[in-house]
Amino acid sequence: MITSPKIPTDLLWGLSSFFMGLAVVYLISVFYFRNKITREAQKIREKKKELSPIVSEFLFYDENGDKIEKINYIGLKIEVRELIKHPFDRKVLTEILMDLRKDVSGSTRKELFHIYQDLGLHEDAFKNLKSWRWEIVSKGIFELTQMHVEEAYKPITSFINDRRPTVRKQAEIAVVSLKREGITFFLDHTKYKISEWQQLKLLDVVRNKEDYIAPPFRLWLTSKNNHVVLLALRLIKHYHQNDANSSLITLVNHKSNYIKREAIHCIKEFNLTEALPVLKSVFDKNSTDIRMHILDTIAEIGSEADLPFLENIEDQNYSFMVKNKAVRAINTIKPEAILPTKDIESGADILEAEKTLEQNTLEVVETDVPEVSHKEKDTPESNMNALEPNQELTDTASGVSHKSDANPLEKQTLELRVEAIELDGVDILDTNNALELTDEEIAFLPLIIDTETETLSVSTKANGKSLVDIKVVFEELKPERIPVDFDYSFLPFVVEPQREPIRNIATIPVVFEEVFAMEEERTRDIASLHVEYEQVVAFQEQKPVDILSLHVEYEEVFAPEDAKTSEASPVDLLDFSDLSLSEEKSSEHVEGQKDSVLDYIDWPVDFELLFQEQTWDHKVEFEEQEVNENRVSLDAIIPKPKFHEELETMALLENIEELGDEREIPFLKSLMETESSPTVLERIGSILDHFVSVYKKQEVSNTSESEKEYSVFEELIYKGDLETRLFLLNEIAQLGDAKELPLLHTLVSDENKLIRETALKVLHALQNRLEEDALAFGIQDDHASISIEEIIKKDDPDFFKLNFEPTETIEKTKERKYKGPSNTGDRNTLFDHLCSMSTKFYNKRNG
Amino acid sequence: MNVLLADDDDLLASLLGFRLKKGGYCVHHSSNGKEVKEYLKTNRPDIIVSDIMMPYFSGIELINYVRKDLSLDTPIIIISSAGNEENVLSAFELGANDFISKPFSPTELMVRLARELKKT
Repeated sequence: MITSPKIPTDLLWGLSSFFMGLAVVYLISVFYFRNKITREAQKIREKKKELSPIVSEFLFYDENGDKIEKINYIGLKIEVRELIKHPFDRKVLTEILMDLRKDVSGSTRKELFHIYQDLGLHEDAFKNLKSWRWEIVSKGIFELTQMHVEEAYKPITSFINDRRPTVRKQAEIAVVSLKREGITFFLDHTKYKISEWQQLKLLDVVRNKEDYIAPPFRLWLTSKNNHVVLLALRLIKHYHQNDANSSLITLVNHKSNYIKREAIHCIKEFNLTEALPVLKSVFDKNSTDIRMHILDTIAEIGSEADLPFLENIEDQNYSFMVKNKAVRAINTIKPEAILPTKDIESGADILEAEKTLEQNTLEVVETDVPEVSHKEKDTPESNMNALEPNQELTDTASGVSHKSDANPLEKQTLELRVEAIELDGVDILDTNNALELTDEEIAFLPLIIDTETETLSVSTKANGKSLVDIKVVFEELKPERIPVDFDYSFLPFVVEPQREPIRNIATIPVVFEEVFAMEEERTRDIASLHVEYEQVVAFQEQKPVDILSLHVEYEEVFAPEDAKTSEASPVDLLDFSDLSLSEEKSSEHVEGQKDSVLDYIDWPVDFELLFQEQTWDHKVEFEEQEVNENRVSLDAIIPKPKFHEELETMALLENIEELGDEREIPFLKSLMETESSPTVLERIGSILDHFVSVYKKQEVSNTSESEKEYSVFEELIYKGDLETRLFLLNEIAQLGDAKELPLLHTLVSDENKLIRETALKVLHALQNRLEEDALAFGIQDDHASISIEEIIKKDDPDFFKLNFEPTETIEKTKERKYKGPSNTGDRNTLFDHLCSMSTKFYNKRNG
Repeated sequence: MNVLLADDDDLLASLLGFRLKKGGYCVHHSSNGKEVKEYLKTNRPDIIVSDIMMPYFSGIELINYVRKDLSLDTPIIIISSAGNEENVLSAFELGANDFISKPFSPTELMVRLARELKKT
């Protein structure tokens, strides 16, 4: 009797409990890890969201931005520096940069690389290189490669021959990517196999390198590593380096089929005909694959001299593929040297078949049923070549039927040359097969059959001849195609007289327009003549003083009322000089003028006098000016006497002294060189002295003012910890300007030694930088500072527009009260003053 | 100028959004097709910048929706990944105005954006 073994139930319960517990633990751990991963992913996502605006801010930070942007940037930099103290944040930040790298290019990508290194994130990757875990090392190499950390080149080169394939492959890519010479280092040092996939990746890296100059890869054809030789051959082919012909020919004898094949490809690519004997000699030694490559190459670069070799291959007992290749090569070198032979019927067979056909067709004729079709299914060629007897040739593709008598010009005779067999039987066209003919296939047939050919076609049907056998006598068609002898002699007589009058009529309005254009040009010339105005005056130095010319100047005083006049004679704007003079002074000059000869040196005062004196008849004068609008510009054309020029110069100098500042110094110097009048020279000298002294004072005051300006770093430095302060000092060295100098001076005497030393270094660096900037700016400023006179000489009408455009400036100039020459220190431009002059003048006139 | 930026890649969208805002545009970001649809029901952006690959509602569908369902001629610039030329062709056929292939320079996008807006 069989009894079941006694299993203690306690044990069963125990086992059950154990496995249940195990399952629970497993489920809990799965749940826990899943949640952990999800939480971490969520955390990373949130962190990315938090950090991505900061990254964007960094990426698109504009160094020339406003103060707020600069403060934000520095604040963010401090924030980021705090953030990257935590490994998790560093990891997320690295991930962000790596992700963005894939999507952006150009300057943004470069900035991305810069940020990566600037924040010291590459240090983590460097640490990863020291890990014992291959995946960490590989990740580190990948990161450094992707972020183009060139410093990593050297540490990564040590992994080129790493025994771990993943690390090694990553290092190979990195070395080739990071530096131009990386490929040479790699080819020189690699000992391991380079897989096909890796070679493709390396080729891709090399191909996408910017400004890459390929080294001569033939140098690695002698490498002991066959994989290096193979890669070198591929690179040679890619870069078309055809300077290693002998090496390539030698490599055809290499043991490795891969190298052989690549060498043969290169030979074919570079058309190395001298390699043909070698290719032929090694042909028999090689595998079918290589043989086929050799035949391909011979077909490409061979000549008729190689035909015997190829024919020999065809005859010998080589494989089917090799024979085919040889035939193809023969036909490539000498087209149609070998014709199709497979399943091609011999001449006797054809005769028999055709005789049978003849009998059949004759019977058909006798029964008078021309539509009867005869299908020949022996060969596809015969089917295709069948012709329909008495039907129109139908274009199956287009559905258009070509009737024989459709167009007499298109009629072409079809002459069938029956060489082997002369048959008078009826040709029967297999309609189905005829439909298979495409347009292209029958395109060469000029088939428009007339009545004669219809009868012929009825009587001579499908002889079994192929379409190729049907020959068309083109010689006969040629004269038919050019039946009309055109006489072109009449053309000149008919066309030319007709065209000429039409052309003349057509061109009339154009000429008319041009005339208008010329008139406009003239008007412009007159308006712009005031540019030459000064030049004309300058040459007429010896003419006597004409007091009346002051009257002209007076008229131009009112020019600003008329926009056109003011634009036409911008120089006259300068005549509003001594408007601040009191009436008493003016009256004194009135008396002076009555009693004595006018001293033109005091012209501005006299001008004022005239103005005061003649205000009573101002209205009359104005009307006169309005009536003779052109008079002003015409006056400008008329050369003026020398004294007038001096007066103008003096007036200009007065204006410059009153309204100008140190920026006029170069102009005054140039004026000094050109002027000959001692009075003018003396005046220029005094103005120059004045400006120079004012400029020096301003320099001193500006320096002290700028030093007092607020530094964005100041508050941050005093609030930050030691690290932040050091970081900010570095920032000052890079971004700071003169405003930071006082702060640095303070920090030089800081309690902390480190801060003191750093501040001192930064101070020197900043001072040097500022000096360099100042020099550069000085050079630019010399070019940029063009005085009023130079601009007026250029007669640029837009110049005035630009100065009047900003509303704020206009408002300011309206409000500004003129305070005399001492006001030059307020840094307002001469043009602001000039703009305000007209307003001031009107205000004065209107009380 | 209102720009609708439709991209499921929050990082890239944030970057582009920042650049566009800096360039003076008012940017609305939608991270999937549903959001885009909802937004377009009530708003009319001046230009749409959309990624081709988006959840729920691809860039191609978005073009179709804008051009056919809404009958809007709002300029649409498509952002596509390299090697996604077939989709780009479909996008053009449906009425996209321009496309830009990743990786691209945000400045280039700005230029294309300005050009399209200038055309309108």
